[in-house]
Order: sequence, then C-alpha cells, then structure tokens
Amino acid sequence: MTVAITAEEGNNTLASHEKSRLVLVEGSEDQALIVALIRHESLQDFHVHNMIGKDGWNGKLRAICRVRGFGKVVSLGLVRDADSNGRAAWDSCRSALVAARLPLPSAPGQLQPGRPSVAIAIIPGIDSVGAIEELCLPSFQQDRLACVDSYFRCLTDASGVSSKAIVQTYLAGLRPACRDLTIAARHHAIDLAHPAFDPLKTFLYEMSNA
Amino acid sequence: MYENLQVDNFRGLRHLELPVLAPVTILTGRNNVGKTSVLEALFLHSCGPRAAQALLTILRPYRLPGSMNVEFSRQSTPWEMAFFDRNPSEPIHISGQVDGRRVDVGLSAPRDRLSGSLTPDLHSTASSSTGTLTTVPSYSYSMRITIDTESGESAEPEHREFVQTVSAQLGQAVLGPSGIQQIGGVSLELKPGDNSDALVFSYFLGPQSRSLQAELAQRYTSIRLNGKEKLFLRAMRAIEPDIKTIEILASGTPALYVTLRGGPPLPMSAMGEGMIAVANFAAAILEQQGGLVLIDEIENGIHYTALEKVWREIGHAVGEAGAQVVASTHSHECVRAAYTAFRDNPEALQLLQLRSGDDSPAAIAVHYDSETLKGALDLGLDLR
Repeated sequence: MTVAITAEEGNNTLASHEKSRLVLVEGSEDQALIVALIRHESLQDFHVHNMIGKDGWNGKLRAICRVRGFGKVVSLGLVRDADSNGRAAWDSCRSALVAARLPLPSAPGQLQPGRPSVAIAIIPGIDSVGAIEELCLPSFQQDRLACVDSYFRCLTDASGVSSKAIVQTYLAGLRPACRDLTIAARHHAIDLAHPAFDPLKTFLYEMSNA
Repeated sequence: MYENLQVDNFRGLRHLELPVLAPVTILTGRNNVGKTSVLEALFLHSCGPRAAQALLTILRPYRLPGSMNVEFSRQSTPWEMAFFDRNPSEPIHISGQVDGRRVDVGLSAPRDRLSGSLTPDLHSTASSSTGTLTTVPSYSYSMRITIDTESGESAEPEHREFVQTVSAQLGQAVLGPSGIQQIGGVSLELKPGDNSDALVFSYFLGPQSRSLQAELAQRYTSIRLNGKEKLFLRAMRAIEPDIKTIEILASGTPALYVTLRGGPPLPMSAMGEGMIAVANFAAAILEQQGGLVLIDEIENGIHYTALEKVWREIGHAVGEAGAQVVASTHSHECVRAAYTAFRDNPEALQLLQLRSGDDSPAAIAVHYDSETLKGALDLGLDLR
C-alpha cells in the first residue's frame, strides 16, 4: 500500500507554523522515517521539516524560528545523524540552539523545558557512528540480511561494504522493492514496532507530552 | 548612518521598531504591511526641520501621483494623511539612532492652529477657483516639528522646534512633483522654506520618481565635481556593459546622455527602465558622502539576471560614498541576488521582514542577518 506523506507531517513548505510539535531532520529519509513513527504511534500535531543537509543549521534554525507562528510551537526536536562522530553532531545541535537563543538540553533525548521545550536526538546514538541505516538495520529480518551478507561476500570483501549499500540491497529484495528508506518508510516496509526504534519513539513521546 | 528606528502613529503604523539598520537593508513583507511607510518615516526623520515640506512636496505626490487637491477644512488638513488613522491629534514620533546618537523627531498638527474663516463648501468642487475666489478668506495650517538629540561624547543634548505653515486662499490648490503649485493664480505657500538643514542628506526613490531627467543631470554634475564619475560609470555598466561614456548635454534642459559602442550620444530617457533606475540609484548614492537613499520596489524594471550585478554595484557605491541604502522589494529573486552579491561582505546586508504580529495587529519587523538569510534561502522559506 502506498501512503503519501501528508502536508501536516512531512511537507517541506513552511509558510507558517501550524503545528505545536516541530521536528527538524537533516534529510528526506529521516523525515520519512520519523513521519512513519509518528503515524505508527498515532501522535498528533507534529510537523517534520527537512533541513536539507547537516550544514548551516545555525542560520537555518534561526530562520525557522522567524517563520510566522513560531510562538505556537510547544516542543522542538532536532534529529541529527551521528555520522563519524556523535558528539560532534550533538555539539553542532547545541551550537545552533545557542545561536537561536533556545533552551539547551543537557543530554540526548532529554526535553529541556522552555518556550518551546527542546530535545535533541542523535541517530543511532551520541556514542555511536553512522546514520539512519545503522538505526534501521537491527529491525530488518535477520535471515534476509544474511542473504545480503552472502551476496556481498560472493562479490567482494564484505568488510568494506557500507551500511547504506546493505540497506539498499535489502530493500531492493523486498516485494515490492523499495529504492531507499524514504520509500520503505512510506510503504510500511519497516518494522516500526521493533525495539530499535524505542529511543526515537521515547523522544517523540517526550515532545508530544510537553 | 541610521542604526535603528522606531515609528509611532505614522500612516498605518501605530508602533514599529526596526531593531537594526545596516549599510544596506532590504525591507520585505506583504502588501499594505507598511514597507513604503517605513521608507517614508526614515525620509521624514532625515529631513528633520523640513519634514512638513517633505510630506507635502515629495511623499504626498508619491502616494498620489500627478496633481492633487489639498483639502482644508475643520475636518480635513493637508497633513492628515500622514497620521495614524488620519488623526492629527496623535503626534507622529520617529526616533532613530544616527551615528551613535538618538534623535527623536516629533510632528504634530494641532487642529487649534487652523486659522481663517472657512466656508462650508470651501473644498468641495474644483470650480470654486473661479466664482468664489474673492469671497474666500485666506487660511492656514501648521505643522510643529520637534527635534530632540541626546547628548554625545562631546555634545550636549539639544531640543529644537520648528513650525511650518501652509497657507492658501482657495478651497483647493495643487501640488506637483516639483513643489507647491497653484490654481487660478492663487498660491499655496509653505513657510518657512529651506532655511534649516536636513538631519541627513536623503533621497526617496520610487518607481514613479525615477524619470526626472533634469534632477538626474543635476546629481551627475555633483558626482563629476566630486570626482566620482568613474564609480557612476561602473555602476551603469552593471546593467549595460556596452556603455562607453556618460555626459551631460544641454539641448534645451540639460540631460544625461550615454554613448553605447561608439554610437551617437543617446538621452538616458531613451534607455530602458532598468538603466534609468540604476542611474537614479547610483546618482543618489554617490552625490553626497554619507547620504541615505530610500528605494521603493527596487527590483522594478530590472531583469532578474542583472539583479546580482546591480546589488554588487550598490554595495560598492555605498562603501565608497559611506552611504546607506534601505530598499523594499516583493521579489524573492531580488533578495537572493542581494544575498549572493553581499556574500563576501555579509555585515553590510540585513533583511527586515515586516508583518503583522502573531498575537496582535501591530506590525513587527523580523530581522534576518546574513547567516539567517542564507538559512532561509537554503530552506526555501518565503521572505517576501
């Protein structure tokens, strides 16, 4: 079944803030996954905005704060990939919050009260490396992942294969095949009930309960 | 240079604060939010003692182009269009930080200053200029201007007051772009005239006021005398690279002529709208050191591909002349072009987006520094 991302949850136009919960992410895959999680948990009144990359968040966040209606935002969540250094991603988020004069959480996932309350999530974790692929991999069917692993071992030395390649190969083997995690999230091809997503769900619940 | 501005009771602005004004400031916002009013407020402030005159001779014709009727009655004054809700009993107050000192300019037009005996239908018909002329007494209306300047490092605080009075002998009189005009041989007179210096040398340029060729030639003369003609030529080449020379020719009224690719001199008035616009921008910026240039709808007539070059040249001219430009626009392309043009000099550019407040109808100015502006542009947020 194809499920479109609704304007309320994932549309990337932002003429004014209409929702009380705002999640900022760095790419379309993160956006699609978080929108899917919000739906899976039946959370309400969220807007997930794609910040189009990890660069320039200081200016981008300040610009987001200047969009009409920001005063309606009760809770703000920043979601960033750890990439090669989760601590650096965390520091980058805090730097953007300082520049925007917003409340500063002291730990990932912790909601710092304020107007708005603010939380930061680092994917897959502050002390980890990687991105959304590392978060999703544990939720994939292990027998199918073993096939992917065999496939790469057959082709080359599997130790040099990126998580993105493993994820895309896995998704290509699904029926219907999914090109990437954006499509997979939209097509309910990810097991969102898996515990791998619990930290992110907790983060969203924290925002929802603010 | 203006560093900030606060406006009260002026046109549609009950209260508005502009927190930051840079060497180049872009004003954006939806229709009727007050962009032109902000430019006008800056202009009035800069005119200082001449504010009442500026209201009647420059700003009123700009809002209502061509000749116009100036009404006098106990219900209507020639100034009232400047007051919030057209109510002159609430004084206009414009306060700005100029070169480190706060200068407050107040304009009030108390109704009790109205003098003369008015007939009930004095201003009702244009034909009144013929039959009833001898029976209509003279009358006048005054604007009181106060200027309070706070103390500076080596200057005491200062309070000055001026009264400008407009008087006429008709129910209707005509004002044109060049000043006070008349109907039926009876003049409308404004006193005092140009005796007092403006606070800051300023220009107000709107789309309709960019074709005054004689004024352009006059400004270019000053530019030549100040040795800045190369800067003017450089600015003009941003929009027309083939310009070889610029000169003033006086076949009748002196006018600016350009030579393209070695051809005959052509009057500037024969050039495209964009060239004339840029000529006016450059002339206003370069004419006086440290001037204030206010441009309404700056993108008007300029092709989007030329906007970045025009902004770059504006930035260069502003730097050379120590001038300040505040310009309004409705164009996203214009804003993006400005950001790109000032990328190497980000401190020189700020954007203020005017809008009604989230929780109240009062206007607010949302400030975007260069980094925030880049963020908004990268995210595709609407700044207009």
